[in-house]
Amino acid sequence: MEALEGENDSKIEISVVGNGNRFEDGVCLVFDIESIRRLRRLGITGILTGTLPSAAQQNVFLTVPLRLMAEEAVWLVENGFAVLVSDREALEMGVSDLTASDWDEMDKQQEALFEEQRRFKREQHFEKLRAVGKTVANVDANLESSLFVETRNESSVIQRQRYDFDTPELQKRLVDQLLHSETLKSNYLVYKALRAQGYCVSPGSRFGGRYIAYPGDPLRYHSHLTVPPALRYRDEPLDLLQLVGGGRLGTGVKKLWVLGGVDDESDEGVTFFSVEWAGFG
Amino acid sequence: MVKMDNSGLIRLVSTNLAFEQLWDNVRETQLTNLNCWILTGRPAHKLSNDDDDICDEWVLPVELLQYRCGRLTLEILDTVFHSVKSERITLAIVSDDGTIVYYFIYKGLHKPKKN
Repeated sequence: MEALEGENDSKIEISVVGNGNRFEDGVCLVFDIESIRRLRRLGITGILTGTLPSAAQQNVFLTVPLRLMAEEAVWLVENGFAVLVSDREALEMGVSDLTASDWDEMDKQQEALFEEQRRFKREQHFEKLRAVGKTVANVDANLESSLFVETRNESSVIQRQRYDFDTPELQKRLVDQLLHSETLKSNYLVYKALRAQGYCVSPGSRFGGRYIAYPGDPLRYHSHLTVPPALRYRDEPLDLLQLVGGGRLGTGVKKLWVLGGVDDESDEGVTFFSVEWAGFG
Repeated sequence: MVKMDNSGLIRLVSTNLAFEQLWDNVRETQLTNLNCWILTGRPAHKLSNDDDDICDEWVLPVELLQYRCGRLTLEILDTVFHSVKSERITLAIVSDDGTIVYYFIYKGLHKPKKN
């Protein structure tokens, strides 16, 4: 689980991408292969989601970006392995100190860039005409090939390097946005407790829970636990129908159904109970 | 302290244990701090391959309600574990159609049983 010695110890960049207008449902993505390798060593597997734009339906060999659960991202930030980077924050920071003249300047730069491309295309066009022996007549400003110009991929407002995301205040704000409800916070405590016991935790909807936990890397071990969402320790009654469903399915696939209880009134952490079909009845 | 009254289920579950599951020595005990009843008994055969031998089991009857939540919370489970001082308790989940299903509960994270 420990990072290997001599390995790059710079923080892994996790992009938090807004889900439409609802930033609180932001999706955490990692785009760098080397970072993904380091995450794996830390016991964070995530889910590869990248596919081919021309064959989006193929989902057997997926590639970057790696999508992380919010819990994984927050755990990495809390343990100092990663830093959350959000384009929205960058945009807000980027525009905050812009003045009207800055905008004008950016417009002018963009127009100059376009003009340069158009000039280049016109010259090429004239050269072609000359090559076939035609004389250059009047300059047609709306030459067809000059209608299309390339725009830059990067934004002139967001210049990420200019901003340092790795400040405690900003990271805390981003973490709070990811864990914006009490339920999510409790779930995170359960996730953290499972990690502290050495489990590798993946999303658990395949077995009807919120997480499934492996005793080591998922490629080497079968998972042992299915963990439904956290319960309030004192006043949330167990849903016995769900317990029977989860327990019976789990026992069928050699997993325990693990209830994690979070008690706001004590600092004792998460209380776990493991459920398994008794084999009769 | 939270209470969980399960006195209405005791007879059904103890009858089921004694005459359908063929357990020996099925007895009921009251946990006064919770105002609830718990059964002990000895199964006819070993319940888990992880057990060395047949041993006495603790069975907590609870009611499965379809349209209302029950009363069983993790705090109650904890209290029961504390009272009986056993590695596991068996939950006897009684449905309103008379079906009883039995589930082991272990305190903490446990390993899945060997088959």
